[in-house]
Amino acid sequence: MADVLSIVALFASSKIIREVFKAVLDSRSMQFKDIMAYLRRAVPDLDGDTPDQRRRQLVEIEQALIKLQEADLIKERRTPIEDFNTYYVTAEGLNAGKQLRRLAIENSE
Amino acid sequence: MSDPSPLPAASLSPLDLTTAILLAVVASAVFALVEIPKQSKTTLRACLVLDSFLYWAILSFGNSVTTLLVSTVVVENIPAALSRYYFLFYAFFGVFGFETVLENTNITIFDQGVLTIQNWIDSAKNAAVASAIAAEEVLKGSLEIALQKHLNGMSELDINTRILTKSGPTTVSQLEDDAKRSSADAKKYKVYYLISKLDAYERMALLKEFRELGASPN
Repeated sequence: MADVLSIVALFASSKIIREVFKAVLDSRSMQFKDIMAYLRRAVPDLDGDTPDQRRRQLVEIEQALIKLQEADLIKERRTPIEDFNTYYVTAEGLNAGKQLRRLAIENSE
Repeated sequence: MSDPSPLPAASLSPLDLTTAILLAVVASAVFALVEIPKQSKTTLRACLVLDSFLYWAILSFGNSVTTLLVSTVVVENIPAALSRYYFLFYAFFGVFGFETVLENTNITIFDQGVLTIQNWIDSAKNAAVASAIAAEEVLKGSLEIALQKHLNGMSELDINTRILTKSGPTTVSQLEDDAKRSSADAKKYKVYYLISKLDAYERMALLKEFRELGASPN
């Protein structure tokens, strides 16, 4: 079970990790293809034109998903085509979402 | 000689209390059945998992305790003319007063707050919601396998037409490009896309069509 501090550290390490988690948490489950589409809207500087840039972004997003899974915040349902793999939030993820929301409210007060 | 102390207008009846507790348990089930699908954004079917029953049990216990707690208050404050319906008031105030009781009750050991009852309920609810989400994914997975079999048997033209009506004119070519970029089978890719865009009713209709085709001798 990941504690709040390690979750905060994880989210502070990358905007992509934060945004991916936010997307999955809000919709409860999301396909990889939809996560990509969401990130293109939420992180405009992510959208690169060259194949090299795209490949790098893809690796970054995959890394974010792996880290979130390692922290037990999300889980993956695989399909034969990676774009349609589904990522869904776990009980840990729901707890983390609530704790982070509480922290954000406390900090804003 | 009669007792001079004034008697309450009506007294607590064990039958009323039992009925009120049963009502509180039923209300807890309704509450859980509304809350878990809403929080998990899943179907009711996916919510019928062990953790949901655990959440219901914890909720029922809390609601039953507050129903018992408020019963004396109800007897003292509600006119005796309504005594036939006391069981209803016990359950009503017990269930809806539960939130207030929760927010003001702490479990403490050596003056240290361990867990508020609200935390216990929240944890149980989180577990139920997460289990419902996971169960929904299992259900979706098995449904998708059947739909893939059915859609893979259709012509690419048929699949393109379905995508066109579902997502507009540019989607087919966009999907073919995406499939090419991912070195994936274009037809399979489009089938997966189509499945992901179908709503529950469309999925069920396609599945029914598939079963009927499977059942027919031709």
